[in-house]
Amino acid sequence: MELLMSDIQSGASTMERAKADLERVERQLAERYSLVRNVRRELVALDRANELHEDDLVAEWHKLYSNYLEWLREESQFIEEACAKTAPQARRLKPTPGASKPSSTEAALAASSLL
Amino acid sequence: MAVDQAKEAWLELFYPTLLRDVLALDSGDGTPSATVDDFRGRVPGGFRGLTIKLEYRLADRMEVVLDVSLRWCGPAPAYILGTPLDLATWQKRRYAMGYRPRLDDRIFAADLDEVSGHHVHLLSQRGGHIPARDVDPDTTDVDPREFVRLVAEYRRTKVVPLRPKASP
Repeated sequence: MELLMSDIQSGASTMERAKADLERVERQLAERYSLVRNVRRELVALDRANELHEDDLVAEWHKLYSNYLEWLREESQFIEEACAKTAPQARRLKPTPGASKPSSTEAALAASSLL
Repeated sequence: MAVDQAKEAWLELFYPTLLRDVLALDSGDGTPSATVDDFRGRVPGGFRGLTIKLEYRLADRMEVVLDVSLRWCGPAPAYILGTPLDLATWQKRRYAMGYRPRLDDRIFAADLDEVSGHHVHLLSQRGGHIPARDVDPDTTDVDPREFVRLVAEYRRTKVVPLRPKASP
């Protein structure tokens, strides 16, 4: 059991690490497929069109992309839960014009769902 | 990275018999390696997610890769190590399982990813995405031990065990 606990400690994932790993692989794929703008969106489009060659690098990208999106979803859920807890208080406040700008996490999730 | 005692314990916890099933593909003449990482939602004594990857390089230069990310969806906030583990309370969030000549394209594979959902790749179909439900047998949510059984069948018969369903 101690061996397994030690693995949990040493193999923990973080959002920052997930993002950095994803971007590293995306840079390699961008070079391979000559992508210059909005690499992630282009890669998804290529994948949907069956134009990505499913080798180890593409498999790694799938893994890291899924991992990062999951972080974003968890973050989004955390924000929603935190907002729900403070909602009764918030309802008493006067709404501020233009205050509904989405957070960076919400924006990232929305961008992902557009892909 | 070989399969050390801890990795073997992880494999046995989530997929009892998997390592033995994989080794049986060539009577254990090949080289297994395993990683268990990407632990998510850590709590004291437990966690809510992990990734298990088992690779087996067979002696005949073929290779099986089983890579599965699981998330806890049981009633408690997290799975606590040492408590009984029911696979039904774990959801596969992503998987990539394939059989191929080493460093080459996969002959057949069953994957789940964010872009294409549950799907299959068949070298005979130029490796494109085929929805898992359009293949017989349907590989949606396939257990890695079942995938190893398909590999064993292929090695025995040389017939790819996944076939696109005939159009109506």
